Amino acid sequence: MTPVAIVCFVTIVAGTLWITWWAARRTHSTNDFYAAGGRITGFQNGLALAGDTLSAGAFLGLTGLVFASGFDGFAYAVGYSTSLPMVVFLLAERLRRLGRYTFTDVTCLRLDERPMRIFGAIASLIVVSFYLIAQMVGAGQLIQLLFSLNYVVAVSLVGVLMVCYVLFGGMTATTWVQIVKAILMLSIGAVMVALILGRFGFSFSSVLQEAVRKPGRSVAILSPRAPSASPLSAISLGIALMFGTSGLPHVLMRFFTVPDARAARTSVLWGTVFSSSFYAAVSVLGFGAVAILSGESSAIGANGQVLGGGNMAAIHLARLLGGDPMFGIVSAVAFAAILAVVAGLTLAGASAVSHDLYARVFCQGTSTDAQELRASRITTLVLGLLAIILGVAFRTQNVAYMVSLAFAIAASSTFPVLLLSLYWPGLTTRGAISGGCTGLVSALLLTVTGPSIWVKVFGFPAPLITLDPPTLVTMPLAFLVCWLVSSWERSGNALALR
Amino acid sequence: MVSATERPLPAQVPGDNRSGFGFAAVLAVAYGGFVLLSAFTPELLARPILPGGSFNWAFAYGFFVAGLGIVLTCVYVVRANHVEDKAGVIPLAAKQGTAQ
Repeated sequence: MTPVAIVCFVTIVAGTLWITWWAARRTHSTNDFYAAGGRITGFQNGLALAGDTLSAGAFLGLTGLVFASGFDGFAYAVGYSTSLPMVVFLLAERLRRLGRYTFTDVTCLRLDERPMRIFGAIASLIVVSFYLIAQMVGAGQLIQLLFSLNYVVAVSLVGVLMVCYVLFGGMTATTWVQIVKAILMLSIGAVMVALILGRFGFSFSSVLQEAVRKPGRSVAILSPRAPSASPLSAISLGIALMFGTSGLPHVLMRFFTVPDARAARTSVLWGTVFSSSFYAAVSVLGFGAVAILSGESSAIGANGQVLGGGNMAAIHLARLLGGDPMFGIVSAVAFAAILAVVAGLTLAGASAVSHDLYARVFCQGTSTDAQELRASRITTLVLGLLAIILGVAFRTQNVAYMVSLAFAIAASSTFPVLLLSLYWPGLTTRGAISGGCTGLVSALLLTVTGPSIWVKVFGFPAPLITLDPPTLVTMPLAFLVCWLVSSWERSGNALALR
Repeated sequence: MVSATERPLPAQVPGDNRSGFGFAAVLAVAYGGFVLLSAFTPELLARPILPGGSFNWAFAYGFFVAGLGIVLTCVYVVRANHVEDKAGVIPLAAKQGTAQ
């Protein structure tokens, strides 16, 4: 790290801590803590939503993926771009109209509260944990590489900072950190795209032409290759990318920070505009990295791999485009991106425990605001500690599969239950619980026995299930079980009444 | 457990509409086409749009899906706001009442 880079980094981290201090003075009630007092405007919330979806995984991961596998990496970005519009079309409005702090509030309006709260909290915690592990491992590796810090120290640093944001600033701080980070990320993306295109006469076609000419590359990197090798997995991945976000608790929670359904709509509109533009820009960043990094000895090692790992392609690209200042800013923004997403995840996990389990199930609504706040602060501490431990324990795991697992589980458990409880009057409590649990368990089982874990982690020669991710089977299965059990229960009761 | 299912769907409020399903279907079909073409006829997507150029149909379709998402969201939001204005906005207090 050069002095310029360190100054940029320290400034950005200090800025986020200042936001937390400012937010802490405004956080008094549970409504402040979980939903930023409902005072966030639609535009601000849109930026925060874009921030949630533009994690470091999107910026570093997708650029790295395009660098490594060409168009197949960009196809991921295309899939992600459909996810927020799906949230607005299917969920955003009714969610804001009916919920208070967590999406489970909504399912409890019609169905029995206790079982739904317990299911919602468990599903949220599982999804949040997998997502959290992925972010912690990514953060640890990034900081280790950027600052040559010890991995355990790096992960602990992330854990401590994120606990500070959530503990003291609640949703207000988490949202504002996310907003600042989204603005920085979008500006940096735009500057980098302009610099790349500037080098090639502002023609994307010239960037692609140059990329194809590099040694070891061919015109094959410009079109999809992986999907034709395993079409069913490609379709399954498409479903997970499209509907996974609709079941992510930390994204759904954002709809309770705005004053009404109209602001919820506005916020997803802005969120979609910003994040989809960024996903489209990934094509320029990724292929620009291919065209510019290839053959640079400061970025590519003798073995042809990116120095510091595949995820570092975007960081090297920034350095080659804008020198040390750009390198420092991009590294700091990537770090802030991880912190902001991790803080949002922790808050979602904490509300699942304190609001759904403690206040509603354990105390059955008799707890005071102060008790509920204390419960969620204790949960935040525990989750922070757990995140550090898991981040260290899973340090060798592949980050990408954890994220796809979180998406697959969300699309097969929370999403079907939430969608049906919003739109299908026939849904019964037993139907929702059995369908949600079936989706949850089958998604977990099929992922464990699939190629990502069975072969890559356990080392077996062949997977039991070749479908990866399993969403193509597990999401329809969850819907089917919800429908079957609900219909069966209702017809049984109808008979009993006669 | 049964009594809970007797409760009506609480979402039937003014300004509520199900047009979201139509929008979701359009986007799903467009993106589904992208996935299916990638899986079964990738050579079709690999064709350059201009002869000799590098920009091919795969990129064009990808950008189209991302753009369509933005356009559909705009149309949906403007339309839903319009419907809500016509139906009369429900006071905030009443909404929070439902939420609890």
